[in-house]
Amino acid sequence: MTVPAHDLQRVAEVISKAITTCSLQSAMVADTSTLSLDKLLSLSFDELGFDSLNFMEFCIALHLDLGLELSIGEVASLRTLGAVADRVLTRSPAR
Amino acid sequence: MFMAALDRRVRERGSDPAVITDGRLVTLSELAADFRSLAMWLERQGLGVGDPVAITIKDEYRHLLATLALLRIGARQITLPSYESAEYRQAIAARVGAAAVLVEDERHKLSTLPALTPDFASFATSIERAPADHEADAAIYFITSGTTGRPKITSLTESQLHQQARAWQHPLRKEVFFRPSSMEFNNAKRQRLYSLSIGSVNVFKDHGETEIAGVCRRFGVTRLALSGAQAHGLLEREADRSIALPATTHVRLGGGLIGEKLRRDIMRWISPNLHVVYATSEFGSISTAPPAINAVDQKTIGTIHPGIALQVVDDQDEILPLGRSGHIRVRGTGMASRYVDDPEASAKAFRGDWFYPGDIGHLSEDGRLYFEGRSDDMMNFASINIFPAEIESAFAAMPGVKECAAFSLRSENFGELPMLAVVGNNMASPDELLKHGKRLLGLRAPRRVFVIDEIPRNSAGKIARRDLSEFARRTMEKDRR
Repeated sequence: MTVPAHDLQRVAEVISKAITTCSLQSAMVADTSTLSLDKLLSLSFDELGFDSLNFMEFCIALHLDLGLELSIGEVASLRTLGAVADRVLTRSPAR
Repeated sequence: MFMAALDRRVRERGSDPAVITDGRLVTLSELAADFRSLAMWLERQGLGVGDPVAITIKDEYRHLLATLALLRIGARQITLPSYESAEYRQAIAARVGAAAVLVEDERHKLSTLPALTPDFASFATSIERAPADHEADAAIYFITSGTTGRPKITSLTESQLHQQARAWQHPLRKEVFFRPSSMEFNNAKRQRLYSLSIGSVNVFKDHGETEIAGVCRRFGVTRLALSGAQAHGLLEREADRSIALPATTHVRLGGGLIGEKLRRDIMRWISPNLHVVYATSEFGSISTAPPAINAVDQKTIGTIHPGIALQVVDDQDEILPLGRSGHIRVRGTGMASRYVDDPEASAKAFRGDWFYPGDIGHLSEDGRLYFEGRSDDMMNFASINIFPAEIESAFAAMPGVKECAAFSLRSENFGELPMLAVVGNNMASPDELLKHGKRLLGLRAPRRVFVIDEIPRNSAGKIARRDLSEFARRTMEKDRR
């Protein structure tokens, strides 16, 4: 990662919250709130047991919290939460 | 009629492919053996003609087997999606008087209903038997959103299903059909059955498979049915790689809200073979804009299918001249005739011999239909229709809630995201309200709750939902700073 730590921390918090928000009955979503930043960002969607509905809710949560619209296909192709954080930071308007 | 036609095809063309699931090809004979065995097992459990049975099965092939087995024994069926809350599933099951629920996962059992868990792995042999004569009975219930605050339940007979299938694909042709949405969704289930009915091969996505284009190439898909959200997702991935779908793959896109840009992008990047279809659960397919029309006119939802009568009328049901906007109404052989347990919604949508889908549009002189919007406040979220009343009624009775109003926020990928504004005192927190909504409404739940002082209304006293959308957009923008 080549981004300022405080930006990454904020995006990670949003991602962690999005994971909680998008958990559905059918998903094997772990409690991510207790994980370290590194551990959280290393998680893959496979490990989280994401299905298409989880991806949709995850994208919606990112949209509402960050104002950034990513498609399911785009997020799914990124594979890990860390890659999503990278994408968010490179596409977010400068703050 | 639906099952009789399928049985006839099994007898005459049993070695034809019917389904591709987990990369395995299942012939019509194998499919029939599986669902007939399951049908016999269901009969041994005491189920038979007219019994309402719920299905909560995520696995595509097993869901299809359960669907066909229940049609086979003449039971009525309704899908209670696994992604919906137990409360929601129980409420719907009660409305159709379900006698049992078929599940593959213990977690999807309901406390109010006996659960049946078939051993799918054991169904491999069958004994030929004549199907029961039950075609006039309701066969499948489909759930849609309701204007009155309750989900509407459409009932289709086997015969209506069969007729809808024949109108669904125009012109009629066998295809390798792929719909990358769960069979637990109303549209996806109907389209799977339609395609099976006309002799097409159903491709089911492998577990964990996310590559739509890859599936098309691997299995020679000739007809890919997408939602608007899926089309956006596919566009981003495929455009990045400059890879188009195979030339033999045609894309079917449903819904009147498909914008001009999306059509142009799909034709440029994904496939020039784009078919935009206007359809409803109650009626089936109404019109199609084929590639030749989409190439020159990206606004129309096409020409009316043969055998369907469509008129554009005013508030007094007077037929309007060509070019004038009004209420769309349709009439045809495969249409439902009422909603279950909802006389108010039935009286509004089914009048005379006509079905009123609640859409506004006009017809051009050359017979093209143009969709202009809804005559009510319905939202279209990820191809799911949601009426504000359905959301509002889930919150109105909560302690402390004085008033609430559902509205939508535009999303590039998912259409209109459901939101809620609430006025009240000493009520639950927004987070608790969100959880409550998720439990009762599942996918139709609001994604954000805004506590406000007063619901904005126009001079006629109608809720100003656009003002709420703008308020929500500005509030969230401010919160992000």
